[in-house]
Amino acid sequence: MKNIREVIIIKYLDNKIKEEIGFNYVLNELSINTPYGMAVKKKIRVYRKEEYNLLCNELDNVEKIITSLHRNKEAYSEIERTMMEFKDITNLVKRYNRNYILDEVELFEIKSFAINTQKLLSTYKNLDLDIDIKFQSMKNIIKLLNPENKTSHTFSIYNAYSIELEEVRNKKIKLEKLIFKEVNQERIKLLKSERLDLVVEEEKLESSIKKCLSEKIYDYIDDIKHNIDAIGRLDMLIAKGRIAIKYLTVKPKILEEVNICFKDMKNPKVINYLRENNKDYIPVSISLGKGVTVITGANMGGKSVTIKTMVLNLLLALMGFYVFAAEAKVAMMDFVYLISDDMQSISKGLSSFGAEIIKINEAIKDIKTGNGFIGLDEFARVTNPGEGVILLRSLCKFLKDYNTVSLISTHYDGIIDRDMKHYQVVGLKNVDENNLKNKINVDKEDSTRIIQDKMDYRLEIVDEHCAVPKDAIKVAKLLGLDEKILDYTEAMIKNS
Amino acid sequence: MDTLKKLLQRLTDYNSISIIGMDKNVGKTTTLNFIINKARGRYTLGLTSIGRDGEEKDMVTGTNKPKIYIGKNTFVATAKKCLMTSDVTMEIIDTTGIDTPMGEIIIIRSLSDGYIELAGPSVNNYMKDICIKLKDYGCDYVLCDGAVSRKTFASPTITDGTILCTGASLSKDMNKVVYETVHTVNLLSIKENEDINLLNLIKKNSDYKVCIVDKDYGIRSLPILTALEASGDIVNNINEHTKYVVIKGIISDRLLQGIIGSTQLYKQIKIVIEDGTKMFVSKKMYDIFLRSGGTIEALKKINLIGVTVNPVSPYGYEFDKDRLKSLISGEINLPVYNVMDDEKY
Repeated sequence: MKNIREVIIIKYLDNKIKEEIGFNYVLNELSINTPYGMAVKKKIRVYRKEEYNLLCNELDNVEKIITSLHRNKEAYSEIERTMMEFKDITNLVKRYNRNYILDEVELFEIKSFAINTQKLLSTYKNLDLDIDIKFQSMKNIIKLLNPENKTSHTFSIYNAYSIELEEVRNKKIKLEKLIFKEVNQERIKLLKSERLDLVVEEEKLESSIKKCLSEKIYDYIDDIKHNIDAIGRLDMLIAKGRIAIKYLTVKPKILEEVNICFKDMKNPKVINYLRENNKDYIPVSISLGKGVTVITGANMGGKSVTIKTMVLNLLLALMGFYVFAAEAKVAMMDFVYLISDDMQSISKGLSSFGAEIIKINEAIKDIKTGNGFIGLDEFARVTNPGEGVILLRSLCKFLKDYNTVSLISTHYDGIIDRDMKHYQVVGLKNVDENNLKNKINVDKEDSTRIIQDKMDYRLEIVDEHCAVPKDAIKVAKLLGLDEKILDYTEAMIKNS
Repeated sequence: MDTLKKLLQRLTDYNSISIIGMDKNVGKTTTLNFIINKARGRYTLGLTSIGRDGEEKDMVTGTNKPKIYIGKNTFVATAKKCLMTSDVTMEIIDTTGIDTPMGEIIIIRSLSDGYIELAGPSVNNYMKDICIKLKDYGCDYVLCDGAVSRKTFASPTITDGTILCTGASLSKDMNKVVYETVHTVNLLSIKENEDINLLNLIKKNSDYKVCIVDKDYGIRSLPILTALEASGDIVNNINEHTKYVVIKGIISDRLLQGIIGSTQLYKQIKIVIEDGTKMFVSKKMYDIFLRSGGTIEALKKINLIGVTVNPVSPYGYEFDKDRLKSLISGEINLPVYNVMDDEKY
């Protein structure tokens, strides 16, 4: 059982890539309020194909929560305030069994848990949400731990549990008063030894009460476990709703056929980065079917960001999140791979090219047996261009025949074939070059920023005859590369 | 003559007070118990301890940690293991999520009198949180059982006031007790550095062992493991432009000797330490350093509000209580109290 689980986790991106694509950024943006929600967040994973109904149900739940969040602002603040009161009792629950005797602190912890759950439950009930998170009443536990009927959040072995206990304690207090007043050290010693007898008696009685309480509360252990689970799920669901509202997201449609389609998708990590630099984010649209799709385009044209953003949103959709886009349709996936040389670990002594190949080998095993997604960002960029092109073409040819969705970005020429989809970054195509050049001449220091501002990161579909744009030369020109070099370049292009 | 009664009256001026001992058995527990006893019925007390490592042994009782005897309606923040060995009838008020080797720190209120052991967190920030919590529950003031020890990271600077306990157990020679106590008072009272620029700089660069600060507040952290062996590195890195040498950790004789012995530059430079508890320097060395023109200041001041003396040693001898008290009084500018003072309210 354990093995199967591990395989599934490995198939969906390692932590480094999750960081790169902005997945960890999104997780950190979630406002989780309970230790139980944190546990859910830690274990978050992609829904598997056979869990299609669960994923749809989760997305429906997020939809319901979003509507409810808009309508009941006060109630949700109340719920979140209550949630912040929860302390983690999972370890306590783990060691609790039929013969376990809870100590005072543990009884206090269970009491706090019960009171907070009951409070959460009553606010939650009023929301009248039609979702499959239900709570079990904790009233019986509270009653057991509040025998004096005071609504107290603290706990002690109350006198109300036993008349005998009350008597012993009263005797003890009387003695203590005597001890306090007494000046004679000898007398104090005697009184204290008398007190010790009562302490022993008190402890005996307290122990039997603790034993009795532990047994009675154990009858509700399944309710406690159920509620821990429900609190964690509700916490996560509200966090999903909150982030969906914050970023203007959309509910992804989950498809049966192998297809991925995002309209105007965004990446919160990049949005935040741009905002800090006073820049706007340009949303990008993309639609992929099974087989190979290639993105070509200018240097600085944001190809990498586009692939990362797509993978981020794909992953989120498959985990039951609303996605950062205006429209989204995704298929369930057996695996999601993203391979890019700037993400490879070179600590293992591999060159980045070597690491790419090893990662691809790993992916190919899955590609042969299932269907999923593989993204290749500038594959073979670092090796020599002649061989790089041949390798990439061969890989594309191979990938075409499988049910997997492959997305490949490259600035190599001659990769695109008739049965591949080809996107091109709009780039600087529609920009008046002279105008831009003049601007840069005025403010040379800021040339890269000026180019970035004019860069159109959107994608457009082009046919297979459309060559990879020569924006590299354009950019080099704009950045003021020596005229003589540029003259040679032009001559070479004419001759070829 | 100052009596403990006066001390007690002064205590309400402070939100939190730490009680630190020069040595084991100098009457720290006696002082704590005395204050607790005297506050009974007048003030609601909060009690906790600054990081105890669990090794401290009380010679008199032979138990691991000195137990204190508290009154009904006292708030105590202590480790869970200490609660389980206490004979106080208690109400659990809150759990703190702060873990120690002795278990999580739990806040209780006593429903009866009884014995309890104190063990607290050894991190300053947690200590602050606990003091605030105890005040929130309605404590008039918070007493911290503190330790002057190389082993603790928490220091009495987090409390508003500090009482130093000294006593006969330090030495059979009364003059030596006086000598050591006065020296410790002087070290603990090291002047606070008032340069706001320096404080801000250190706040921003808190990850250092030793750092050199220039006159224009350029800061360089020296790549060393501990301050103890750092004198060579310090000497090699200071020059005419150096304003401060800021040291995190223990200041030893060896460190000061190393500096004095190899450069004259230290006369224009201020050595800045965390606080007075980090000074493990002999009186002889400290005097030489000061007389030859050195300056030591602390980032944070310890607000000493009094010294208690215990003229009785658990090793079976005792001094004349008034003489010990007056000898110490004569040398320091702080009220001195006798824990064996039997004067009743």
